Order: sequence, then structure tokens, then C-alpha cells
Amino acid sequence: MATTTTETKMLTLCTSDKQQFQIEETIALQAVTIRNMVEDECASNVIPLPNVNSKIMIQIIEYLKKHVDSSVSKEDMEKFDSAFVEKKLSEIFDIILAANYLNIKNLLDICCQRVADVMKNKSPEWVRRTFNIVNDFTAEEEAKIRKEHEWAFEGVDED
Amino acid sequence: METISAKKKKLLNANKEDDRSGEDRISDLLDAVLHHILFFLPIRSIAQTCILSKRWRDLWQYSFPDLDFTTTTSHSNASKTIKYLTTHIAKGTNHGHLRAKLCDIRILRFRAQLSFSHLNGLICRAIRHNVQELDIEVAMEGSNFEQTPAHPPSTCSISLISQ
Repeated sequence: MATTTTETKMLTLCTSDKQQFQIEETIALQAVTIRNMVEDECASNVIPLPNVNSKIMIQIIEYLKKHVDSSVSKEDMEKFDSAFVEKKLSEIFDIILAANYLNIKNLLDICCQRVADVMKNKSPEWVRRTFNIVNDFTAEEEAKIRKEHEWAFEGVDED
Repeated sequence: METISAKKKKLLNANKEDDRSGEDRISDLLDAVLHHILFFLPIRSIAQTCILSKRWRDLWQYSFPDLDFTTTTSHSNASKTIKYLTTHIAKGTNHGHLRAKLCDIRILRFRAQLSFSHLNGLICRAIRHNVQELDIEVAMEGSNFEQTPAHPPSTCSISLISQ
């Protein structure tokens, strides 16, 4: 564990908007995609992350910094996680895309859970409105699918 | 029945979640990511997503791998669930052609009262789709299961977990 103050190895991450972030390697390596790049030695000092912008990167680094800290109790980590996902859905989707690309499983889990919680026990109409999903079924098609899935729709409100 | 205040609350929540960009971000996610979101929901909610749009219908019908019907709690619609299992999953017939494409079923779990032929159909289908976890508890009426003497209903559990 952390004892001597030998040089901390740093990595530089370069986001899609060409911002550079210098972070400790141990923090960055939690992202499996970055770990693979470093292990395969296909990464020089600067790791390009063309799928992540700086606004999202800041939040991801905040998450990774917390999660690398082994002194944080399980309870505190859970508190941190639930506060972390208290964001607008559009931001959550940005983080989901980045977490999926960077392969940070826990982060993907908590963000997906957050979206699932929004959908939970809500009618399809509500879900469509909340996520701006356009219903591209004809009335007949929709009725047919509803009929096929009667078991799932029984007792569900229209609204 | 829901009260007016519950409706109001719902509307408030809707406004809170709505980011007003008008963009459908969720439907653009990869199937694997959408599966990941749906894993956190009970099967009834997952199945309900099939009428959101064609994208979501296809996700439910052709690609969602975990079919855990043990999360349906209501007994009142048990027979409808069984009907769905036997007509859409066991045979894969009907316009839905559920699992018609070659997509794997990772988990199939259900507790139901079924005839032997339906049970057989479901197991065959699950195996054909490379099921990794099969967890079935069936109660069979003596009349449906010829070899069993009349001590209905008898319960049998089948579990198969590969790898």
C-alpha cells in the first residue's frame, strides 16, 4: 500500500475537445479500456479518448478518484454513488456512453440503475414522455402487441 | 385507482426528469447498454417497454436475454403469463416470432402450472437457444402428466446452470 513517496506515475488523458487531464495512473487504470491500452503499450504518455468530452471527463475522474480510495467505507461509497447519479437524465446518458466506452463497470451499473429507477412502475405513456420516445406504431399495431402481452399490462394506468 | 395527488406527483416527477431537449437519448443506446438498464427491472416492466416503439419491441422480442418470470408477483394474471410462455416462447409462433432470430436466451426462470407438452416445448426452446440458466418449478395436474398417478398437483423443480 501507499508508503514511500516514490514518484507517482501519471497519465495524460486527452478528451474529444482536446483538453488534457493529468491523473495518477492508479486512478485511470480502473477504466478497463485505459488499462488495456496501457498494458498493450499502445498508449504513449497521452491517451486519446475521442468519445469523451471534457465536461464528462471531469465527472468521471471525480468518480474514479473516490473509488480508488480504499479508506472509504462501503457505506460512504454507497452514499457517494447515490449522490453522484443525482443528475439530469441527459447527463446520465452522457456518462453511460462514456462508462461503456471506458469500460468502468460500477459506474455503468449505478447509472443504468438510475435510469431503471426512473422507468420503474411507470406506464409506457409516461416513459415515452419522459425519455422523448416517439411512438412509431399504428393504433392497430399497438393494440395487437398489448393483447399479446396482456399479462404485462394488466392493471397498468393509461397515464 | 389513483388519487389526484398521486397524479400531480407523477406530473411533477415528469417535469423533474424532463430535460426539455426533446431528444430521445435512450433509444440511441446500444442494445447491450439497454439490456443493462432493463436488468434492474422486473420482467413485467421490461415486457411493457415493447410498446414504446419498434426499437423497444425488437429489443424485447429479439434480443433481451434474461427471461425471469418469477418476478411477476400477481397470481391473478398467472394464466395469462403461462399463455404467453407457451404461445410465444415455447413455440415462437405467432406474428411476434419471439426469439425467431438466432439470439440466445441466457436465463429462463418460471414457476407455473403447465402441461407436460408445454413444459417440454419450453425446455427444448431454451436449450436450442443455448440457455445458460434454466430454473423451472412446475406444478402438474395428474391429467396432464399421464405417468403420474392422481396425486395432483405434484411439484417438480428443474435447475440447470451451465458453465
